[in-house]
Amino acid sequence: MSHDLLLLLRRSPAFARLDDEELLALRDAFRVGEHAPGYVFCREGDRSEDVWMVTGGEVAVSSRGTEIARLRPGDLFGLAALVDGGVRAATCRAAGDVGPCTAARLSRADADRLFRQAAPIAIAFQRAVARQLARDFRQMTARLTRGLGRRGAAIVKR
Amino acid sequence: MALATVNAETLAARFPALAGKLDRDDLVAVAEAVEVRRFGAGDQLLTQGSPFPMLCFCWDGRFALAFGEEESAADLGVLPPDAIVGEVSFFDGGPVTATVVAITRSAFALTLTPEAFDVLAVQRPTAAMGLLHVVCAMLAERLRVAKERHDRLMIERGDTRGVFHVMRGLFGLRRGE
Repeated sequence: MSHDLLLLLRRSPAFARLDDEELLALRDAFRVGEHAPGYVFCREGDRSEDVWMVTGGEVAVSSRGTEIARLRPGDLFGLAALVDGGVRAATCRAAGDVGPCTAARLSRADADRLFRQAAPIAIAFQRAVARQLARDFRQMTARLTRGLGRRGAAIVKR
Repeated sequence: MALATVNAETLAARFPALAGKLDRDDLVAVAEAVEVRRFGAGDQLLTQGSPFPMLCFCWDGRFALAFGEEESAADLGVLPPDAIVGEVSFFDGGPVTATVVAITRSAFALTLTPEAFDVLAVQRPTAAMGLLHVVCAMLAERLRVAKERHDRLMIERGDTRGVFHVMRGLFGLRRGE
C-alpha cells in the first residue's frame, strides 16, 4: 500500500519544524514511483544524486552483500547526496516480499532549487543528514570498541 | 601573545572550511552566536556520556581527547589546533561521545549550544545551513576513511593497534600528533 506523501512528510521528525506551505513545497518537489522487486535505488560506493523517501512496501539496505536494515514508509535514504563528495554507504534495493515498493525521489537539482527558495527546508534536510551521520558514527565507534577489546584497551590506556 | 578576537576574519582564517561555505555576514552571525570559554589545564571541555551537547571549536591552547569509561579511558591523543568537536551529540542530542580536556595552562574554545543554533537558524538561516554543511562534510569524510580502514583491518584480525588508529582518525586526530 502506498501512503500519502504529504502525510508521511508531516509525520516525519526530520520535517517537524516546517510549516504547511513548506511541507507542500517539499511534497511537490518529490516524484513518486513504483519499483519492481530488486530495483536498485543506489549502490554502495557510488556518488550520490538523489534523495528518497519510502512511501510503500520496503527497501532493503545492504552493505558488502549482507542485508543490514529494512526501510519502511516515511524513512529517508540517499541523504549522502546532500554531502559534498557524498558516497553511498550502502546499496538500497526495492524489497519484493511485502508488496509493491513505492518511493518518492528528490533529485539533486530539485533539492538545490528548493533549498534556495526555502531555507527552513534546506536546514531540515541538513539536520537529517547530520542525524544519520551521528548514528553512523556511534555504530562505528561501537564496532571499533569491540575490535579493541580488553587487551587493546590495556595497550592504549594512558 | 594576546587571545585573538572572535570575528568574521579570525573565524575564516582559523577555519578555512567555514570561509569556503559562509559569506562575511554569515561568519559575523556565527561569531556572535558562539560563546568564548576559558579552561585551565585538566578542565573538561566535554565529558563523555554528558547529556549536554555543544559544538566546540578549539580556539587557543591545546586539548586532548579520551574515549571510554573514566577509569579505563583510552587516551587517543592531542587534538589539532583547529579541531571541531562535539558534533555527534550536537547533531543527534544523544550523550557526548568522548572526553575533551585542556592540557595547556590556559585554553579557549568557542562553544555553540543547540539552543543558540536554533536562534541562528531563524535569524541567519544561511549561516546555520553553511555551518551544518561544513561540519557534516567533515564528519562524513572521517567516517568514510574509518570505514575503509576498518574493512581492511577485518582481513587482518587481531590488529588492535590498527583499530586504535582508525578510532583516532574517526575522532579527527591526525597522525604524528
